[in-house]
Amino acid sequence: MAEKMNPEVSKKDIYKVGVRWLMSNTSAWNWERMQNVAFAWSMVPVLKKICKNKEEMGHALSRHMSFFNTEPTIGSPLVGAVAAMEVQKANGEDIPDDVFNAIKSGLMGPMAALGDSLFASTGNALLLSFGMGLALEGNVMGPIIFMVLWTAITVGFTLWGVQFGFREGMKIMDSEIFSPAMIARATAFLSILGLTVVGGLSAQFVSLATSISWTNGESTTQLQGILDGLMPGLLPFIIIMVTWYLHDKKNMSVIKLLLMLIVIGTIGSLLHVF
Amino acid sequence: MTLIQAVLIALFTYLAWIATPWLGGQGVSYHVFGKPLVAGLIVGLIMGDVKNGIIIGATINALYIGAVTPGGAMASDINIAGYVGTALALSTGVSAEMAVSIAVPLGLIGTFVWQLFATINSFLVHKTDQYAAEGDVAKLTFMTIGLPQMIAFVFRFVPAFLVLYFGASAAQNIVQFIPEWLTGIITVIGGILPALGMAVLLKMLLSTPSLIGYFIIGYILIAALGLPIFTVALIGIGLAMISMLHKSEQEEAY
Repeated sequence: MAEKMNPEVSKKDIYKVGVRWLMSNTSAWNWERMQNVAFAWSMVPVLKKICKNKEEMGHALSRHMSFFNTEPTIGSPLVGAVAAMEVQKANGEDIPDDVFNAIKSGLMGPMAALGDSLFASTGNALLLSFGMGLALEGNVMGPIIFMVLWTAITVGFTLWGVQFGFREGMKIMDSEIFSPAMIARATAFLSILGLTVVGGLSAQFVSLATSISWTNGESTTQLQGILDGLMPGLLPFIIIMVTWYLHDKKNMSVIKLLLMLIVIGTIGSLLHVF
Repeated sequence: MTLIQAVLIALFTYLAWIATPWLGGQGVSYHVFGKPLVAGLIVGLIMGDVKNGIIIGATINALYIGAVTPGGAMASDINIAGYVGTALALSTGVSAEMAVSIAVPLGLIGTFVWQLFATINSFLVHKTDQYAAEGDVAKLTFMTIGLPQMIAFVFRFVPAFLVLYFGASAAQNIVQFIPEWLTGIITVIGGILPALGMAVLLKMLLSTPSLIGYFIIGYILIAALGLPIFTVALIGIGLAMISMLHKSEQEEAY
């Protein structure tokens, strides 16, 4: 019985789902249901194979017009897993719409958290920092290395992730790569590497020098010269630490800090401190 | 700036936007081509000054290094800041520090485009509901990558083109008449603003306070020792291996 109903969903169809998801995930993004249109549209290559008529297609598409939002790259296995559920349903398993919604909304949060904190921010920033450091040295390989590597990682993971999700179905969250221990280790490794590179980057990109000097008899002493004798780049370091402290420990918003830095720069420059 | 340069750069402010699918969606457009570092390279190629392009792009990027978009909240339009900021800086010949000060207001204005776009999409989604319920795949495709992209193109390309084509010569004139004290202020501000990007990134990376030690080491390696960034990255990998792997090997040994 199952043979007769079993739709021919090939690896190529899932590849098409992956390409659609990769490209469209933010295209019709809206405040109300966020990535929902892209999600429904991404299901089309699979639904075309399993829906027998327009009515069935309509039901299936409407099912995926509900709220959806995740980090699109790390969340890609979820797209494949939902495609697998559609095939199961077409094969005669009784999967009500509620179950689709429960699984999507249950997994999209954790995947977004992982994707935003580890992948799209820490991982991206790490490679980006590296490219920026090279670029500031005048090396054109800085932007090129970043472009090639991050594009390969994103496209590769998304297309693989959708296939992986389709193969594993709902077992995706049990798999090794999403285990808390694995994530904790990867986060710690990237944090240490990231902090070291960002430290170096800060020294390259933040600049501040004082122009305070005083004359004693015949010799003029530059304050900056004394500071450089202690530690080169001391003033930028203090500015970064103060900004970080206010942002992280005092929860000051980015806009307020932006204004604060502008005021410090303006007053300092007008009073000839900097 | 020539007409063709303004058209090409304005085209990239559309293509490299977060919602544009043609270069590979958010993951590639926003996270690769949208970064000011890459914008610096592309604008540098278009304007025939790659070296200054990438230096300015990287400097503008430092301000936005920690910028992510959790749940679609965007603090600043780094794409406009990168492309238009670099282009205006190159055409006026100002320093990288002054380029940062040009980029900040551009980035703030750009966020309204995203908010307007997502608001229009919130109306469109109800029409999409209807097409989806009818099972009309062609119309769903149009509502996913057709109509929103036409709107996005108009919202991104037109203002960027106008600013670039007509603004560049105006900016050139303005820059000539900026008094020295104002140049001083803008340069100091441009020098310290990247501290904000670093602070945001630090907040994100510092899972425990003691990890700030690694930041200090990285800072000294370049500020005091002047090592290249590649060397610093290798030292970072070494430190991460000692801290992480050594610990887990010890745990396994017992």
